[in-house]
Amino acid sequence: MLRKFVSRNRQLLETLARSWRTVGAQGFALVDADGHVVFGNGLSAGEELSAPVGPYGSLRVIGLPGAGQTNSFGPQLTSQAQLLAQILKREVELESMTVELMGAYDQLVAMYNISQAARSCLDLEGLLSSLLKEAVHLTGAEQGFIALRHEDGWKKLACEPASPDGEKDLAIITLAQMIRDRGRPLVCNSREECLNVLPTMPPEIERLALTPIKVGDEVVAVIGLVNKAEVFTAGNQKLVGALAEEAGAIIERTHLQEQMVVQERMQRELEIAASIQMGLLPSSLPHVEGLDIAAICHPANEVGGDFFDFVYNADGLLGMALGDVTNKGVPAALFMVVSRTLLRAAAPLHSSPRRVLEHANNDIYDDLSGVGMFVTIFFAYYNPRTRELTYANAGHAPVLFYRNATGTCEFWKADGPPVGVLPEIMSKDHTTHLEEGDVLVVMSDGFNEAANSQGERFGIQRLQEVIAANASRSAGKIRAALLSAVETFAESTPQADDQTVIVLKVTGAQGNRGTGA
Amino acid sequence: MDITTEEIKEVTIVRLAGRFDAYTAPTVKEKFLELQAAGRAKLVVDLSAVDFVDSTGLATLVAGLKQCRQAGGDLKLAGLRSRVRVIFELTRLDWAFQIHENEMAALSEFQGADDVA
Repeated sequence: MLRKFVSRNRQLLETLARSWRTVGAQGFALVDADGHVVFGNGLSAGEELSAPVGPYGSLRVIGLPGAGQTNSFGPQLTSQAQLLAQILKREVELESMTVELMGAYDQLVAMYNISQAARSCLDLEGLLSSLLKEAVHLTGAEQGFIALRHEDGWKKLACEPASPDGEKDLAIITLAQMIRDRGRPLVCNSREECLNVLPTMPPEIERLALTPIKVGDEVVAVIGLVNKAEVFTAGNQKLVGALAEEAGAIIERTHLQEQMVVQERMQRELEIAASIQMGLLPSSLPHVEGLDIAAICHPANEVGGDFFDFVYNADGLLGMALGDVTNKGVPAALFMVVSRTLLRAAAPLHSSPRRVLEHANNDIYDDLSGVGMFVTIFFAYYNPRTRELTYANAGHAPVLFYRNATGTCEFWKADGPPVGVLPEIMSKDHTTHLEEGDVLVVMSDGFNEAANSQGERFGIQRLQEVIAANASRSAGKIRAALLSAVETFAESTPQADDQTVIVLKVTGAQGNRGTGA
Repeated sequence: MDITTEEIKEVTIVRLAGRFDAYTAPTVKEKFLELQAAGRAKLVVDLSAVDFVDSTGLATLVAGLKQCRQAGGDLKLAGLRSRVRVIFELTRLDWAFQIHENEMAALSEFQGADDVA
C-alpha cells in the first residue's frame, strides 16, 4: 500500500525532501511499518527526527543541526506526517470502495447473465446450472451444487465444477432436506461446525454455505457452496440469497408455463370430446307421419351429461330417449356415452320401453356399480299407425304433456328410480293415445332448476304455463319459447346445468316436417 | 359441509349439515368409504340440517346405498326437508331409499329387523 502511495505521490515527497535539505537536513525518508525505506535516502548516520504516518509507517529526517535539543522541527515533521497519513487513509478507502464497486458490478453482470439465460431458454436445469456457476464464481467457492425437490425426494441437478455422482450425493440430499425443514440459510465456516450439522459430512468439506430457493413459502431447491480460501461472509450470503430469489422466480415461472401448457392441452381435449359428444346426438330428426318434432341439447360446459336419441325398432316403432346423467364434466360425459350406446343396443330388441330400460340397467348396475353414478331416462315408443305412445320413466323429470282436448298441461311423474340405482327397474310401461294438437315435452332438469340472481328456480309450473300458452304453435316454436322463457328468467345468471328438450307435436296427416336439431 | 357420526350398537348415524353438492360431496364419500373399511354397513344418514342436494349429492348417497346393501346392510335416510324431499320425489329415488321422519324412526327400523333376525 505504502509503495503504491509513494509512486503516486512522488512529487509531493520530493518537495518535502527538498524543503528539509534547505533547512540543513542530510536525509529524508518514508519508512514502512516493518522499517523498510520506501522513499528517500541517507539514513546511515546522525541525529534522527521521526513522526508516525498513521498506522502505515513513519517519516524520518536525519542530520538536522540541534535536532535533539530544540525539537523546533518536530511539530513541522509531525504535521507533514499527519497530512501524509490523511492522504493515505483516503487512498485506502478509495481502494476498498473500488473493490466493492467491482464486486457489485460483478454481481450485476451475474444477475444480467442469469436473467438473459432465463429469457433465452426454457430448460430449467440449464438455467439453474448457469446460476450455480455464477454463485461459485462470485463467492470464490471451490465447488457448488443445486438440489431440486420433486415428488419422490431430491435430485442433484447441477454441480460446479461438474463432478461424477458419488458418495457426496447422499450428503447433498440429507443437507437439502435439512434446509427444507429449516427454511433458512445455513453457514458452517469450520470443519467443526460442519460436523455439528452432519456427523457424516464428507472429509473434504471444510466450509459450507446452504441457501434455500423458495417459491412462495415452499423450499423447492437448495444451493450449496463448498469450501473457499476464506470464510463465507455476510456479503457472500446476501449475494447467494439474491441469486436464490431469482432462481425461485425462474422455477415459479417455469411451473406456471407448464401448467398453462397442460391446461391448454386439456382444453383442446375437452373441445374434441365435446365435438365427439355432439356428434353422437342425431344430426337430423326423424320424419314421421302426423308428428312435428323439435329437439336440442345445450350443454352448460364443453361436455355434458344430457342426451337425446331417436331409433327405430324391428316393428317400425319410433323410439325416443332423453337422459340426464348425474354429476358433471368428463365423468358425466363418459357415462352419457355408455348410457346412450346401451339404449341404442337394446332398443331394436324390445317393443316395451320398460324392457329397454331393464336391458340398460342390467349392464349399468353391474358394471358401473362402484361408480355411484346413475342416469334418469325417459324412453318411449310411438306407433305411427295407431298413434299410441308407450313410455317408461326411470326417475326423469320433467315430462310434460299438453292434452289438447282438455287444454291442460299434465306432469307425467316418474314411477321408478333412475337407471343404475337398483338391481331392478321399477318403472312400468304406460300407454296414451295421442290426438291432434297434443304436445309432449320431455326436458332435462336444467330447465326447471334454472335459477335467477335471487336464487329462485324457474320450476315446473312455469314450464307448464309456457307450453300451454304456445301449444298451438309448431314444435320448433314451442322449443324456442321454452328456451327464451328460461333465459329471460335467469337474466345474467350463467346456465348451471345442461338443457335438453324434445318437443313432439301431433299434427294432422300432412304436418310431418321435422324441425332441425 | 359438517359431518358428525354417532355409533349406536351396529348402526352408525351420519349427520350432515349444509349444502350437499359437487363441492362438498367428496368429503361425504370419503366418510362412507371410511365406514365401509371399518365394517359399518348399517347407516342412518340424517339430512335434517341439509338445505340443498344436487345430483352429485344424490349420486354419493346412491353409492353409499349400494355399498351398504352389498355388505348386507342398508343406508336409510332421515329428516328430509321439503325442498330436498321434492328432489327425491322427482327422481323417484324416494323409492330406492327407506326414508324416515327422523333418526329414531330409522334406527328402530334397523333394530326391529334385528329383533326378527
